[in-house]
Parts: sequence; structure tokens; C-alpha cells
Amino acid sequence: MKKQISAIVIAGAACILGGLSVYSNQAADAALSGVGKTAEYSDLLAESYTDVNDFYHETLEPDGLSDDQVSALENLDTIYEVGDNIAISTQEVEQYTEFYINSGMTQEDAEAEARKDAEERAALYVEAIRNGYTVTDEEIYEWLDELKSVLEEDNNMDAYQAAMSGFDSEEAYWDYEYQIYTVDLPIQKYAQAKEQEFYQENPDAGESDIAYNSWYDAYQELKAELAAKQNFR
Amino acid sequence: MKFKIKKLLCVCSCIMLVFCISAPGYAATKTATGTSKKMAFPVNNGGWSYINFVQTYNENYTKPNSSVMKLSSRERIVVAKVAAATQSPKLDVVVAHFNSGGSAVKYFTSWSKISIVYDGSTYNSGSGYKNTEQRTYNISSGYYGQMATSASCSGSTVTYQPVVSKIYFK
Repeated sequence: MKKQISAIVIAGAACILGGLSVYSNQAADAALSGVGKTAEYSDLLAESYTDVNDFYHETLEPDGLSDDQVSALENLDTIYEVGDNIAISTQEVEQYTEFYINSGMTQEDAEAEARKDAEERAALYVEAIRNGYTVTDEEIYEWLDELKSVLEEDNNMDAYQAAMSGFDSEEAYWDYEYQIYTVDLPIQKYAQAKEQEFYQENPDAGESDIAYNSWYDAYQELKAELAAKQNFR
Repeated sequence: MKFKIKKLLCVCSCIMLVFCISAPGYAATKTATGTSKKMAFPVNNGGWSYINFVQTYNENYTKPNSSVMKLSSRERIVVAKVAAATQSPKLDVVVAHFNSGGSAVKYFTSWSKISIVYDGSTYNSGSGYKNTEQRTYNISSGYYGQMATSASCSGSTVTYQPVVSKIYFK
């Protein structure tokens, strides 16, 4: 009789487990498209735009550019426009314009988007540095190691190879990435801090859409506000 | 004699318990999860933006008889980590039911926020939502539910296929 009871109890447990059907991962592997355009853009970057990030370090004045500095910068052919704390190079705007033309935009639309992107990046960099989000060489190399490990995953390998294809070697590509992250890593640290601040200050974020998308929208507004605050001319 | 009656009652109780649990009509949940595998977007300044997210899709149901499945509600959860400077990726989540031919029969657009718990050291943000629209399908008709999350980045030419999680209604 004991054996019979045990069998019934086991059968009951099996029914309970069977009822709570847990389906395993059925996600499709993410495949990507658009790598051809990435490779074309890589050629352009390697050929003409490896020095763009130097202007950020050369022209940044966290406490504000003086009138003399502004006048001097405005007289340079290499400068597209000058803000209260930083200048934007003509080369950077040309780089982004080429990106958008390569993506299929008209010259006029591409230039407008490029100007917006350059102003927002410069304004974000100013704000990041002013708020203490500086980076050391060690931090940049640490980040590049992390980024490289992400890019070497199967999922991203094609995009990684395409982005690197215009450069003479892998080393040349990562030297270029180092230059980019002297500017982007402070911005990234600043953006992450602002994201956490946003969730804390907006506990209702994500009421109608996922919380991250609420932050995405807020970040678009923040970028536009900071760019406007720079008073580019 | 008393002992035999007790044993008999015990056996009967167990049989009743098993019957109640396995009988048609009890509520249960089917779950499907999916992981993004870190989607990296090369952006126009020459750098990268990447997003890593995990989605969970639940359908709560009863089976009033052996041929019908009544779906009473469903949940969708997304937790994400983003590393980006100027150009951030954005997520788009769609939950729908499909017939066996792959045509959508119902898109769910009305969702209420629910509380979720996630690992804050791995992910920056997480959101969960519930929809309580009722749907009934014939079990043999091959209908299924699907949650698809796609990530896009405006400053990149690269696009990825959405992460898809499916639950078959059978």
C-alpha cells in the first residue's frame, strides 16, 4: 500500500511540473545587414578622418573660451563653428555628412544631420568633462579590451571586420579607436550616470513604453539642450 | 479495520489531488525567453554603441476541455544594458498572436506596468508589462504567440534581426 501511495504522490508531482510548462529559449540568432555600407565608410574614415578627435582636446575650455580665443578660432579655415567652450572642425561635419550621404540621404539633409551630430557630441563632451568624467589611458585600454571582446562574438564579427576593413591593419584600427574613446568614453560615463539619475528621479518612467526607451527620449532632449546651451556660431 | 479505512481515505485523497491538478480547467503559464547576444552598432563618429537585452514572454491559460485553450493574460519583460556615447540604440517590442500560416490574428497594444526584479549589476534597466485581453483558440489549429524585440541605432547603417520568442498554443 505504501508503494502505491508513493506512486500516486510521484504521479501528482509530475502533473504539477507538467502543468507549469516552461519553454526554453526560442530566440532566433540575431543576424545583421548593412555591413557593405560600414565597409565603404571605413575606407573614408581611414583615408580622411583620423584626426577629427584632436580638435576636441585642442579647443576645449571647460571654463569658457575667451573672446580672443573665439576670434582666433573663427579665423581658422579648419573650424566649422565655435561654441562657448569648444569648437567643431569642418572635417568632423564633412565626415558625418559623408556618412549620411553613404546611407542614402540628400546632400542638404545629410549636412543638417551632420551638423546636429557634431554639435551634440561636442556639447556632451564639454558637459562630461565639466562634471568630472575624465578618463585615464588605463581606463580607455580597459574599455577597448571589453569592446574588442564584444566585437569578436559571432554575432558582431561581420560588422567588426567591415568597420576595420579600410585600415591598414588591426593595430591601426585600434589606434584610431583609442583616439575616438578619448572623447567618447567620458561621454559614455556621463550618459550612464545621467541614465541612472533619470530612473531615480522618474520612478514612473516606463509607464507606457519600456523604461529604457523613456531614457532614450530624455537623452535626445538632453543632447539638444546641451547643444543649444553651447551657442554655436 | 480503522487503519484500512485511513489508508483508503489517504489513497482517495491522493487520487482526488492528482485528478484536480490534471483535470481540464486549471490555470497555468507558458514561458519563452530570448537573449540578444550583444548587438554592436558601428556609429558615424567611428565608435560603437552596443546593447545587450533579455526578454521574457509569458502566456497564462486554462484548458476548459481537451480541444480548447483559453488565454487569459500575458506578460512581457525586457531587461537591458546599453553602452553608448552620442548615438544610443532604441528598442521596439511587439507581442502578437499568429495563425498556423504565420499571419497575425491579434496585436496586443494595451499594457499595464508590473513590478519586476532584475540584476542591477548586469543590466541598467528593466520593464515588465501585463495585458489582460482574453483569447480562445482551438488546440489543433496551430496558433502561437510571439514576442519580438528589435534594436535599432539611428547613427549606424547596421541593422539586426529581432530577437523572437514563441509560445505554441497546444
